[in-house]
Amino acid sequence: MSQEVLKIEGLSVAVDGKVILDKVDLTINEGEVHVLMGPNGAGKSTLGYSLMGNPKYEILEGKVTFKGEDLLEKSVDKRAKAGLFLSFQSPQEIPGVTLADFIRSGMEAKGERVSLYKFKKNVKSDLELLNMDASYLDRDLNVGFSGGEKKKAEILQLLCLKPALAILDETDSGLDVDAVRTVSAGVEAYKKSHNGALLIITHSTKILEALSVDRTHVLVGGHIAAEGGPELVDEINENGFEKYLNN
Amino acid sequence: MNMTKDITVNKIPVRTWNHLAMNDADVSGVNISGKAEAKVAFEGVTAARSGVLKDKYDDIKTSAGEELSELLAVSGIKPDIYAFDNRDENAYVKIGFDKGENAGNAHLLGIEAKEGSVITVYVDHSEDEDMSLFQTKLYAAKGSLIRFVQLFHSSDNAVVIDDIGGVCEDGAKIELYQLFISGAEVYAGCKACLAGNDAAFDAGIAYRLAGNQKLDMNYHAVFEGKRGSCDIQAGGALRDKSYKLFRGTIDFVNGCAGSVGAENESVLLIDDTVVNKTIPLILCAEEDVQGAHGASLGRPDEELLFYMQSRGLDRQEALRVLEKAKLDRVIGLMPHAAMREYASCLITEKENEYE
Repeated sequence: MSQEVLKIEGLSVAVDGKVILDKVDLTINEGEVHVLMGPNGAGKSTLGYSLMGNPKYEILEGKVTFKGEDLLEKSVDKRAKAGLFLSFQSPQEIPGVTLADFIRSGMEAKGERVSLYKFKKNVKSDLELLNMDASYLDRDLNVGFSGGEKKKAEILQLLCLKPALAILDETDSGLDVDAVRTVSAGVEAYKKSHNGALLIITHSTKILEALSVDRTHVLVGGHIAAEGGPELVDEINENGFEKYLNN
Repeated sequence: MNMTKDITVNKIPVRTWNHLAMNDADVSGVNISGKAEAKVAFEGVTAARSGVLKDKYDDIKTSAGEELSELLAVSGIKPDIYAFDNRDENAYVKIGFDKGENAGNAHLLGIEAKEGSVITVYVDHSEDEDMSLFQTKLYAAKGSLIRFVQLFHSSDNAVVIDDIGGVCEDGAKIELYQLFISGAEVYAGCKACLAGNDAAFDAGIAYRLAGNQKLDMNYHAVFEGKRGSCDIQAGGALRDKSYKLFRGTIDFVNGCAGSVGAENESVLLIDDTVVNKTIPLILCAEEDVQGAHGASLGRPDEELLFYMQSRGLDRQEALRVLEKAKLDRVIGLMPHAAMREYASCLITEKENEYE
């Protein structure tokens, strides 16, 4: 029986005094793929940021357990060190810090010492998988990167940092068909090689094509309005969110 | 020889309000004990026997100003002048200074690049002295390129005055890269005269200041020839009670038609207790020119810190990475891998000292 990685119980979150998430419950087990869908403004990204610990998001009530430990009492870096990863919708640019150095800083923060030479050698196959030239490693993080390149750089970090649970916040948004396929291949590789669990926040289903979805959650107005298996993704693709909006 | 004088350095070409205390810098008790002996290493290059800089040396104006030049002239210290006719981009010169018991604290240097040549000179400033003075004059002949790189990693009680003047003839370029890693008080700058047509001056300046460190800078690009270009990019991080003053002047002289000048500074303010002053200046006596200046000053962006923390770096580590990034940006512009590695090691060593 697979182990529980994340358990959210009655989580309510506010931003600037406005309640965005209201009593959300969600459980993810080791190696499972969960999809979080919902209309714009439903609170999907808020859930990702809240779990990662962005101080802008105020936890009003609820409990979150990550690998058996209280997640909400940990600082952001400690959540990352514990094995939680958030792929950002709009990753930040850091002039003067190369992609290689940034990833190595994250690895070193987790206690994994790796020389630049060894890192570059180890990461070669991941770069090939993501159709990224090795020169990206020496470029300043996300500076001058296209939208697609930024998303690939996020997935490269996912592959290197090997978290227990990755939350992908609309990683497929703004990408062309080929780029979605490439990113999807990276996500699949993460899942296969590390038996990583995934919470995929998405509007589209292209990124899911290579993955076997275990559970689907529909978030509307800050509530989990529906839950089901992979068939729920197809139903929403066909009918949209209208029936949940009216409930 | 032992001379001591109070002097004023780093005057801006046009004065602003005195109460801002930005017009110049007063340095008290400037002492010259004698000539600092340079240790020069030639990597794949030799100095040419003759050049024109020895005749032009006294005429080249510098950023610190007349008072320092007069003091150095009275000291009788003669400049070490090197002329290069090198074409190999891999070649470079590395200069350090003798720190022996009888070593003096002042040095005058001249670097000339002959027509069509290229030379990169690295100067390693690791002064232990209470007070050190350096004056460098650069002469880039037609179509030549001088890259002048300085690494300031002096001891925590060292006061350093570094003064540069440069002249670029037709199609010539001076690139100046400066890294300010440590030192109690550093006064630095460069006055570059774009005398010829199509001449250029680029400067990449990076600093990381902490404790009570003080850095006072003055950069002045004078456009005389037509179609000149200049790009001065400064950036750094300030912590604790450190103090930084950046003066940057783009000076379009009448007749320099078609010239383009830009200057920009980006400063990361880690603590509320730092003092950060910036005075960008564009002087314009010619209509057909383009000048631009910008500054970005502020506290570290919280969303950026959150992003970095989400990868496992704690807040202090994330801040250190951002501070080091300011220096790495300029290290990345240094053309020789061995020197880039050396500069990175200096930064790491200094970080370890502070920890």
